[in-house]
Amino acid sequence: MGEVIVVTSGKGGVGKTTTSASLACGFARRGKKIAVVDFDIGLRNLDLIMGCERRVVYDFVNVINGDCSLKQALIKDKRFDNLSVLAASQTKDKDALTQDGVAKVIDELKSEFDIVLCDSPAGIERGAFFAMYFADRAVVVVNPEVSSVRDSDRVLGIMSSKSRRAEQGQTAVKEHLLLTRYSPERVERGDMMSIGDVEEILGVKVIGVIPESPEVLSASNSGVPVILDENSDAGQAYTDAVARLLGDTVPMRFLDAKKKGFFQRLFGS
Amino acid sequence: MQGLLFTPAFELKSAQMSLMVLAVRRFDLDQLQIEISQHVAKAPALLKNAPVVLDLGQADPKPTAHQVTNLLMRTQVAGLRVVALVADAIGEPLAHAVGLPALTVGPRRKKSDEAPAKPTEAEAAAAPTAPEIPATPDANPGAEAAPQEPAEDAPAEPVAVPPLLLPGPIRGGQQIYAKGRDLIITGAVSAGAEVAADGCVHVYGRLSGKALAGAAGDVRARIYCLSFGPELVSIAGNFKVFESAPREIAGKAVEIYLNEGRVDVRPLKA
Repeated sequence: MGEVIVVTSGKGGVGKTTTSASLACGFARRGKKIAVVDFDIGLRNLDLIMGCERRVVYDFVNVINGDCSLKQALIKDKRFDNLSVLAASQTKDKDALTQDGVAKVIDELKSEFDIVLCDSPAGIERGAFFAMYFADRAVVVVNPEVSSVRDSDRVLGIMSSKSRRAEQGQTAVKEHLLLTRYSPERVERGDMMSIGDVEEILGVKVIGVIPESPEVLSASNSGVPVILDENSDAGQAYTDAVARLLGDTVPMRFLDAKKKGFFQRLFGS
Repeated sequence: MQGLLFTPAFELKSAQMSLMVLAVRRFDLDQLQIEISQHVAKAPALLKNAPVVLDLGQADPKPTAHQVTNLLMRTQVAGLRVVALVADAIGEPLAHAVGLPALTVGPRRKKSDEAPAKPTEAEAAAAPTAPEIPATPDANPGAEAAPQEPAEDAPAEPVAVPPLLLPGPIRGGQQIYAKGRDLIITGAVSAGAEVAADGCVHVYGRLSGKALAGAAGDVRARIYCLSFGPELVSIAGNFKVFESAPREIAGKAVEIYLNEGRVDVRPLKA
């Protein structure tokens, strides 16, 4: 049985889809058989970042409605044989997701793949709820700023009380933080929250820090996940994060000097 | 057993009930009605139409029977039902005059009067006293500041109600309410979260959200946390909002208690 990992955040624009695409490629490169599912029904993006938008014939909602088989809807990645994408529907809305329908698709994917990666939409409504409901692990993407941290806190709360694991009284969903758009210089100047600040407020360990980097935008625009750009800091940081998610011990990079953070300066101690 | 031959239509049984006492400090009909309405509005689920016993012992000025009748009506409009008067020198004749029973408050009432946190002054606070109630949060040692002898004259030793114990963190958007007992959280309470208890609230972590102790009106309830930084704290409906925590207590382990009707915060000595 495969493992279900959700990439979520609460807040929009923090880098969930970028992260999902890069983690998916990273896991595939490490030899894992992986499916990545776009839960953002109506605003599908993952196919663009993965560079397979011209090959979407059937989507997630088609599978739920029984218009096609799961096999027909899965798009094989051109770079990795062991990586498949299940696109979101562009024409339907998120009400098309039903608990039974999603459960059936997830269970079928779990029997087929080592890892099922769920790319959550922003918010805490239906799409985001189903993306995290079946999760065994969660990668919560956070920007080092207060509103992103607060929204992540809310999402972590929903996950710990409303996920399938919580409802069935199983061990809790394993939580990881992934800090994106991190700028060591701005942290040093004190106008961005540090890793320590975010970890302290959320009470969850950071599994990776992705530095702010211009390569992320160009990679997204060209449909090549940034993890495949070996020369960029962001790509290397994602590679490290994948290794840590697979249990390797890899030192953190691209952090520079560890100075006092925003909150610590504000409140002392 | 006569029951074998004849079943009576009624039974007279002894029962103990928990009632709140509405202790009037300043007898100002308009003000009382406004404050009671506000108090009820804060916890409608608990207080709306709750039966209360009217205590006029401290009322200033002393009301006439006519004024008491007026107050009974206004109290009902404001959302509380006066079912009896406290049977003291002032209450007893007034009770007869307005046609309500006069109740003698049990010995534990004295204890609550001696409690360190005095009931809200100059306010019609619904101070909960516990006439002969077994098993209320006030039986909890945490509720008392000074160690006191267990009330020897209490009818039966109350059995402690176990607290509601939750591992943290309590995240933003989550609401926890420990009805009729203490609440212990072994972890942080995030900004945007709300933790409430009828008894005391203990947070073994950072308190960044809202904490409400004595939610049913117990003015002796307190809040404890390891790292102070809440948005709001409230004890028995008396609340204090913190836009930012004062420097001398921010991040410190503190005790929050009601001091003459005002919410006070003091650091816990190590």
